Order: sequence, then C-alpha cells, then structure tokens
Amino acid sequence: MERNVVVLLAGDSGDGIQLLGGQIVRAAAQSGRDVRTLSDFPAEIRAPQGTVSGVSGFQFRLAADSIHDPGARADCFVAFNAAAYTKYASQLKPGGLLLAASEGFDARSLALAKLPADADLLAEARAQFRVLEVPVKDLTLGALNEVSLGQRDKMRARNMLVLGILTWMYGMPTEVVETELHAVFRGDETNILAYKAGFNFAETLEVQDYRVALDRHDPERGTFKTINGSQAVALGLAAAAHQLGRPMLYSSYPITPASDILHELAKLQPEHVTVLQAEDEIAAVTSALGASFAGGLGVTASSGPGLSLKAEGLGLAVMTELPLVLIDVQRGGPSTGLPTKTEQSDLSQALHGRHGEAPLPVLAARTAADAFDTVLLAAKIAVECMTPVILLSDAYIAGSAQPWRIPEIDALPSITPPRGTAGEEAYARDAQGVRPWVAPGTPGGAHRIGGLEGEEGSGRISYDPANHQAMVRERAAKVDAAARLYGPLEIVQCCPEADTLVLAWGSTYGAVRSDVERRAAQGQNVDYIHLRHLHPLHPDLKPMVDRYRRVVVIEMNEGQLAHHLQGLWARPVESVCKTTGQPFTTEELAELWN
Amino acid sequence: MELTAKNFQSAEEVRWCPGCGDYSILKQFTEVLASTGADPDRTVVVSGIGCSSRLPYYVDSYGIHSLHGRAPAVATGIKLANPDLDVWIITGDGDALSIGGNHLIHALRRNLNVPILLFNNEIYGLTKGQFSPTSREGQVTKSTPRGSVDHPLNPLTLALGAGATWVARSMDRSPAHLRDLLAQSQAHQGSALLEIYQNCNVFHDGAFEAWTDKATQALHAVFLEAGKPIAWGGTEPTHALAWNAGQPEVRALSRDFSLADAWIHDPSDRLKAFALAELEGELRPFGLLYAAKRPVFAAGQPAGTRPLREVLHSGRTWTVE
Repeated sequence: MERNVVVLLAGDSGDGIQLLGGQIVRAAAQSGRDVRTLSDFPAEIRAPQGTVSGVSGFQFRLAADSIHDPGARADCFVAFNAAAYTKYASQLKPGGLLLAASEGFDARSLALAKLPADADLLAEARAQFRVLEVPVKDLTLGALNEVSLGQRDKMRARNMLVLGILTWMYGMPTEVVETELHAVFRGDETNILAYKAGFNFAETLEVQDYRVALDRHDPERGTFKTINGSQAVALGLAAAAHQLGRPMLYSSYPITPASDILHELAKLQPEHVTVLQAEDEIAAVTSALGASFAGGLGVTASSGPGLSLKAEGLGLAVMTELPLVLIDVQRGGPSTGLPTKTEQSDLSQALHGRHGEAPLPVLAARTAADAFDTVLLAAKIAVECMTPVILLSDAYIAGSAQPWRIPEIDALPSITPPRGTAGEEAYARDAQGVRPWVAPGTPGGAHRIGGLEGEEGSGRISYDPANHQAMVRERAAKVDAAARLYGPLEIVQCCPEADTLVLAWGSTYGAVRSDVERRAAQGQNVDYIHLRHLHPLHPDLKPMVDRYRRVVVIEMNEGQLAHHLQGLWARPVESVCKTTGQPFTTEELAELWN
Repeated sequence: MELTAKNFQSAEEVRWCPGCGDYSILKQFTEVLASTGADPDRTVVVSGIGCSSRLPYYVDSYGIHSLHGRAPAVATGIKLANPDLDVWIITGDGDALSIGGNHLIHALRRNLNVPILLFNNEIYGLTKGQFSPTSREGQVTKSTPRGSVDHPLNPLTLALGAGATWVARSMDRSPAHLRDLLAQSQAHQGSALLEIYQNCNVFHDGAFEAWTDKATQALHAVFLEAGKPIAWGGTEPTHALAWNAGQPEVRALSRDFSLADAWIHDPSDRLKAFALAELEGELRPFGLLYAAKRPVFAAGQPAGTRPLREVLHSGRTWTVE
C-alpha cells in the first residue's frame, strides 16, 4: 500500500492553482492525512497568459503517516497547459502520471508558450510517463450547460473540476470537500457543479487505474484547522497580545511575502490588537516602537529590503531598551531579488546589520505551525527582557499550509512585563539586567529616553567614555540573559555513536529531517539539532557541539550561519548550502553531502 | 496643586547656544503647559533629531528623543497605544521637511491628534551650518558656498496641501503671540501644524528680523485674527489686504479703501488660507491661517475586540474525538 504521494499542480496564474491547492490541503487534513505544501508563483499579479513566465505551481504531499516536507519529485503532475508542462515536466518522476488538460495543448497554447506549432508534447510525454488526457474545458462547459454565464466565466471553474478528479483519485471524502466548497463559495453553485462533474468523471469513467487509496494515519485528538505561516504568525501575535493583556500595535508596510500577516490581523480583529498600515517601512518600525514606549507591545514585519530600512529603528529600540518584535519573512535577495521565492539570506543582517554595538535576540521558525510558538517566544523575550527581537521566517513558511491543532489557551506561555511603577531610575537594572517599563500615564513616572547614550541608572545624557563602555556591555549581557527563557535544547535526531552533527535552522527543517532519518535508516549515524535560537545561541549548544568530530551546517544562503559559528567557536564546520530561491528537497540533500 | 512653568522644567542642563531662539520657545512651552493645566503624568513630548529636538530632555514630563525625521511616526504609535495621552511633536525644518517629510504629510492627512511644533530656522544647526529645505535661493551656507540653488519649501502650503486641519505661524520673539498659538494648537482636535520662526544666531542670524524686530515688524508682519480685517502697519493700520478676483491685493488704507472694505479673515476658508500661506515675500502672515473639523485618527483605528478563543477557532475547523 502506498504511504504517501506527491502531486504537482501547474497552470496559468489566472487558473486558480493556489485556490485548488488550498482546497485539497483542507480536504486531506480533515480526512486524517498528513499534508505539506510548496507554492511557486510568479511575482507579477497577472503575467502574460499562457506563457512560461506566467505559470503558477502548487505541490503537495499527502501521507498516511506524519511527514515533514512536501516531497521532491512528483508522482502525479496536473498540467493545465503547455507552458506549465514545459516548466515542470522534469519534476515528474519517470513513469509518473501526467494529467493533462487537453485544451491546454492546442495550437494556441503552444504558440503562447513559444513552442513550435508541430510540437507534440503529449507524444513526447508518453515515452516517459503515464499520460491521462482529460478534456477539462469540455467537461467544465458540459457541467455548466444550464448555468447562465459566459464561457469565460464558466472556464473559471476548471480548477474545481480538477479538484473533483483529485478528490476521487486520492480517496478523500467528498462530503468534506462539498461542505468546504459551500462555505467558500456561499451558495454559488457554479464551482460545486464543476467539482461534482470532475468527481463523477473520475469515478465512472477513466481514472480507475490511477487511484491511490491512502490509509488514514492515526491522528492526534483535538480541534484542528489548516494554517500557513502567515496565518500562524497572525494567530501567534493574537495569542501574545492576550497573554500580555495590553495593547499591541501591529504596524507594517506592504511587501511580499510579509503582507499576508497584515491582511490576516486586519481580518481577525483580535482583542488588544490595533493594525496600522504605515506610510513606509521606517514608519512601521518607529510607530511600533512608539506603541512600546506608551506601554503596549509594538510589532512590525517585513521582508529583506524592508529589514534594511528598519535597521535604524532597531538601533533606537536597542538604545531605549524597549520591547519590539520584528518578523522578517525572508525572500530571495539582494534588492528586489526574487520577491516570491524563498531564501535564508537575511541571517547576517538580522544578527549584525545595525550601526554600533547593537545585539538583539534572533529566533527562527521552522514550519508554519512552529511559527505560532516562536512568535509567542519572541514576544515573551521582547517584553521580559525589554529588547527588540527579530523572528526569521521565509516565503516558504509563509505560503506553505499544514494541519494545526488549535492549542488550549490555558497552555499558552505567560508574558510578564517588568516592573512598571514610578520610583526607580529609567535604566535601573534588575538581576537579569532588565530596566523598568514605566508607561506614560503612570503617576510620578515622568522620564525621558532617547537615542543619545544614557548614564547608567539614570539614563540622563552622558558622553562619558567609561559610561558608554559599561552601557554597551550591560545591553549585551541583558540580551545574552534572554536564553533563560529558552527551555531545553531540542535534539531532533540522536543516533548511537554518531560522530557527525547536522545543524540547520528555519524552513529547511522538513527536508533536513527527512534526509537525516533516511541516512540513519541506511546506517549512517548522524545527529541533528535544529536551531530555533540564533542569538543568543542555546547555552547547551556549544558543549554539545564539542562532542562531534564533524559539524555540517545546512542552510539556504551562501553559508551565513556556518561563517558565524566558525567565528564564534573558532572551529571548522562544513557548509552545505544553496541559493536558488527554492527550498531543499530530500533528494537534493542526499547528493549534496556525504 | 496648581503647577507653574517651573514644575515643567527638568533637571537636565539646557545646552543650546547662548542667544538661541529655542530658549524662548522652551520658556513659552512650559508656561503654556502650566497655564493650560497640563498633567505631567499624561504629557508626552516626542522629537526627532536636531537642535529643536533636544527640547524633550528639558521638559519634566514623559519624553522620547527619537530618530531623525521620525517623530510623527513614533507619536502615531504612542497615540494608537494610548489615545488619552497629550502628545506633542517637536521638530525642525530639516527634521520635518527633509528626512522626515513623508511622516509629516501622513500624520497631517490622517489628522493625528497631536500639535506639531516646527521650529524653522532655515538652516541645519546641529550639524553646523548646511542649507535646509527652507533655506532661501542664493543663501550662502557651508555646503552652498556659492549660494543655494534649491527652491525652498513653504511649510504652511505643504501642510495645507497634505490635508492639515490646523495651520498657523508664530515666532520666538513674540512670547505672548507664541503662547496663545501654542495653547490653541493643543486645544485643536487633530493635527495642528505650528511653524515657529526661530533665530539661529550662530549659522543664520537675523533671518527673520524683518518680521520679528520691533522696528520693522509693523511693515512686514500681518497678525491674523478671525473675523477681523487683514491689516498691518502699527497700532493704527496703514495697509490691508483685499480679496480681489481670487487674489490677495495689498491696499493702502485711505478714504477710498477703509478697513470695512478689507478682506475679513476666515480661518475656515481653505482656499484663502492657501493664498495667505503663499505670501512668501516681504509681507508674511502670522497667527492661525486655517482650522477645520475632521475625525481624529486614533478614534477611527480602535483595537480589535474578538476574544482569543474565537480568533484561534475562526475559519474552517474540525475535531478529532
């Protein structure tokens, strides 16, 4: 029996590929399968129709057991047109199933994809793959015969016809999908008619040979929903505001792929949370900091270029020792780079990219679901240590969906602000080096802070050399002490007698975990630690690392963490990295190191 | 206990150059805080960077000396987190109009409920003497030894154009006038842009003498009063403005043209406020040019109210028993 299947959907960016993918994920998750996804869409809103540059892709992996990554090459590839086929044919396994929409391979489609008029793509495909041609257009129009809509509008339901076929092929309960579609389309029957036509087509006619019935894995108990990384961050912030019980200002400027967090929070309207679309990236971070000065928690988010613009604001947050959470949804850079693709190349900037001695905690989320917990930790550190915190996510996490068990509110971590009554000096430090947080409005608490160096304790302007030296070190020590809030160091994989340790961070988690599990199964003993805390590092990490002969650092950049660790530890590490804008696949990792 | 100006003076040593116009502005500011019954526990003074932006350190209230140009953004966050605070923005011509131009116009268009005190000295003082966005064409500075070629910005037309709901001008050398406008700016519901002519006696001394010096003020400075003719020239005015075919026209008062014929100042008239703001030559207006009512920003931007449980469970969920 198959335990998992990888499916790739691709078509024109106007074909509703991402919507189709989202529906399948929810149906799969609700029917007890584990699922991971990977989106690949063009940076342009509507790139020229039918062209290779306008192709939008969505990959998902369905499994009977728990999985960690969306898989590498596809078992099934649904190609809506010739351009999609051209772009992704190499992603389909030899002997895999190509489900081709017939109309997408006609003369016009070939011309739009800039292919020769006599190219017979499907004949070529038959030499390598099993090919199932489906007249998606005719079936859709046939199903909508009675609907009074123009052909163009009817054709928009093509993706739902394909949803019907896939629902049947992978044995997902049609009741679940239909309930979903009724909720999404609110009584508009067009899409549901197309869906049913696809399902019936698959069931009654052609598709018997291609069915893959996946078992249900034994699922966790609880209430679930599917979330992507952007939704997880928004929910994590809502939870942080609740745990803090004070106003939260989420202030950001539109930028791909961080904007979805803004959209989510604006839609959700969680208690305590105010959402501001600021006039620019700098206003986003400085207004957030203003909210923190006023006794709330300022939060901002951005992607690469916006992180650069916020650097000065972070410096002020370091100097004023106010809480602030900055979520950086990394994308391919530098500059505008690859705005819809994923990368981990902002790490150096997050760790070091400020003027002056300006250390701050840097955390990284590993999956969409993990982003919820990591945002809560970021908010806790920001408030309890009175410091700005950077949380690194990336385009892959932001856009990939997975089932998520909704946590009980009682089980959420506490967030306890430092003392906030008048009577102490502005920069009086407690045992952990944390200054008080006295919000305007507090009787007798009037005080001034700012970007100028302050005197130890009082915070009054001081240009004294010894004082500056002392304050630089006090700020750094306070950030180092944030590690007290970390919890135990998590070791993902521990093999007997391993002399090799793999270190990775962020969204590489799924692929790396699958890779090390595969190696262990083949007798290559490799231990694996996935870093959530990039600064300060977990206090137990260095003693642990010292036990290994060999350390392999895997990341989606040109070795930024590897370089950083070599500098800190004065020991060599091996760097396994790539910067293609695409996440690692397990297959790829198997070849990249040994 | 009634507070006096002294109660609003902090212990920090004031470090502006001797003779700087900022001293007078600070003095009038603390006096107005006292006279208007400001609560030091709820007063927040926010500034950017520059000579003027040092002011919060010298006021015994809450204060934050932030980043160059960013005070309006910082103040926006403060007001959103706690709309009940009395927030003031202190800025200068370089801070507000050059590096912080974007934040200024957006604070104004949003009608953030904050007075913005723009100390205009037509020069960069703290960086020691470069031309600023309000420096005049031909002005010789350290960075323009052959004279500035940039056309200056007019803070008043900029504010009006950005949708400000309260626009006025005053000067460091007229304490009573300045106190009056400071109090009015604080009372206004919405963003109040008060341009204050401020003499930099080190790098651009005497820039505003024509309007601030007792000997010449009557000839060049027009003090506006709502409902009164727009006239100047001394205790007994000698000249007035007429509104002639959509243009201001300078008229000598005579038997043919009396105060009864003059343009009566109406601060609710935006078009005429533009006309007054555009008096950029020898004759310049002081006082309140324009005031309007519009909902303030924070009121339209309340925090969410949905309980966390509802938020976490929003959207399609399913339960595995």
